[in-house]
Amino acid sequence: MVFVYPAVQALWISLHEWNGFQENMVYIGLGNYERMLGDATVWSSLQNTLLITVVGGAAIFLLVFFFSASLQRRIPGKKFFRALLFFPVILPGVGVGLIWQFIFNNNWGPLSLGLNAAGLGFLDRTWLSPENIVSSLTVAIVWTYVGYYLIIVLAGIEKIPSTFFEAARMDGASEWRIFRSVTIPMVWDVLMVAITLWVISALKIFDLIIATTYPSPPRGSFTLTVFVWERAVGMYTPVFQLGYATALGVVLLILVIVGVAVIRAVSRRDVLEY
Amino acid sequence: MYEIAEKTSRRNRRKVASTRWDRGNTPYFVLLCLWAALTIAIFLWVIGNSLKSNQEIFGNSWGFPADPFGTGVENYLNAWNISNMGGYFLNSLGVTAAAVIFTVGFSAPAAYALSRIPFLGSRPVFYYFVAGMGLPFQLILVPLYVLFVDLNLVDSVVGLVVAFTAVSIPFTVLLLTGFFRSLPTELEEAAAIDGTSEFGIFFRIMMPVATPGLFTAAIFNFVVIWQEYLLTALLITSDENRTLPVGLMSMRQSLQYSSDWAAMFAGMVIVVVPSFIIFVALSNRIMGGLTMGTGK
Repeated sequence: MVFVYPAVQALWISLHEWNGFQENMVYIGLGNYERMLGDATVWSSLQNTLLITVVGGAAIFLLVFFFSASLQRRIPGKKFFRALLFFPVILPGVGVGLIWQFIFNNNWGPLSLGLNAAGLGFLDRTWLSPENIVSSLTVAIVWTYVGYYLIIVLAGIEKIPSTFFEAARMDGASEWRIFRSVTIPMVWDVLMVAITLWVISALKIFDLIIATTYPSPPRGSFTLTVFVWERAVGMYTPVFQLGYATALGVVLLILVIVGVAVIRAVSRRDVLEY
Repeated sequence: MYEIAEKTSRRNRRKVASTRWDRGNTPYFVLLCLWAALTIAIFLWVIGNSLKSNQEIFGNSWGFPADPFGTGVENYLNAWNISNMGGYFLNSLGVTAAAVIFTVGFSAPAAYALSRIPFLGSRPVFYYFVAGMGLPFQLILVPLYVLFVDLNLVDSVVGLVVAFTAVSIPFTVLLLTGFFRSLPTELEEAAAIDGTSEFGIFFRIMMPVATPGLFTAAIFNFVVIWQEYLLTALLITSDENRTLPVGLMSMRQSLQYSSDWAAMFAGMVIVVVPSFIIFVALSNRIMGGLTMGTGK
């Protein structure tokens, strides 16, 4: 009840203009959606959201491949590395976001200080300036969430019978070849679940972004989640365009559905039984 | 004699195998260590700054704190009392504990029914719970708020518990359905033959067997609810009802007046420490909970 009723209601509200105080909402049909087409913030926030999802996702899964290949090898301290990689996932996003905000601080943050101290001052940027903020955010997001997907993929790898690896090794396959031709096909299903989960949650990231970019990201750096919040509640001054905010929420839902559908279509393969 | 020789040779072989360092491992190991060092450095930096005075943070961001004990205690007391992290902490603890108990309490019977009792529409109901997971909160932000205004649950701790319980149930049901499916049915059949009622089977037979799974689900929900921000920021308006994440943000907000950065770092440590303790004690269960729902 808590989901379907509000979700259906949300679709209805998105067809109205409403500030929450009026007794009656004003029906404007698809007016909110028409307004989006001409709203530059919608397009930039769509772009930022997709950028974080695609670029951040690529970075995360490259790291997941690398780390899972590493943790398959005979290396000391595997459990420690696994736990440490995973740890940021369980921290409150606001805490992680504030930590990154301070890391990115230009006056006394360790990143800028470190670069200057190492004689690499020319690499120093205003990390949270409008043109850099989305990239900086992506770095923070990748660092925070990579452990979650690593754990899922690792659990999938652990289920593969070791005889497959032994057989491949007998046949003289290189580590890379084993990874590409044995590990990846065998964890394909789990990998797709992990990617689906990433897309769903990447589109919804909010607290980390809000905290990292405090007091507020510049308009051009909004993601959809931030934009919905800003239109509904207002960043620090009330806005209360509830109909418009809900319509943006509908767009977010459509993105989730399209994202999941695309992954399902692309990932369809014959099921490997083992 | 022969046996002993074989044993020692086997032991030697194993020893050789475990100490042999494959040179191909080195780049992997080095990169893992770099990543680990980065993560540890970040946390050490935050903890270090929480023990410094404000002047030290700006002037000596890298060095060791000059008087870690004196300034440290002061910072943590400031964060705990003046910035009210203590109050937020208690709110978080109470709300999270209550929501976890209700979530698992409601989810367990539902999951058991879905996994065991075949009834018309159990498949759609299952997918309904799955769909609930994909739904962005942002979509239901406004309707949920309106609903909570109607129910008179805005800005109340009780309302927050209701909201958390409601949003946590879908994933928990999914998690526990998979878990109940993995339990053998023989126990229930035996109990049923002995004349135990459905409720008796559930409470007297299944619950004790399912305790590890329920515990994992509870821990997992605790971690998720503990860090929740969006719903709390939406539903809570007064300071005395805030939970830790929202409280931390309001502390950041007041920083421009107080400019007590050292206390801010102490506040961040206060937010991180409970998660850290839970993680160290129960990391296997948490990671297990994550994969319990996603595996086959």
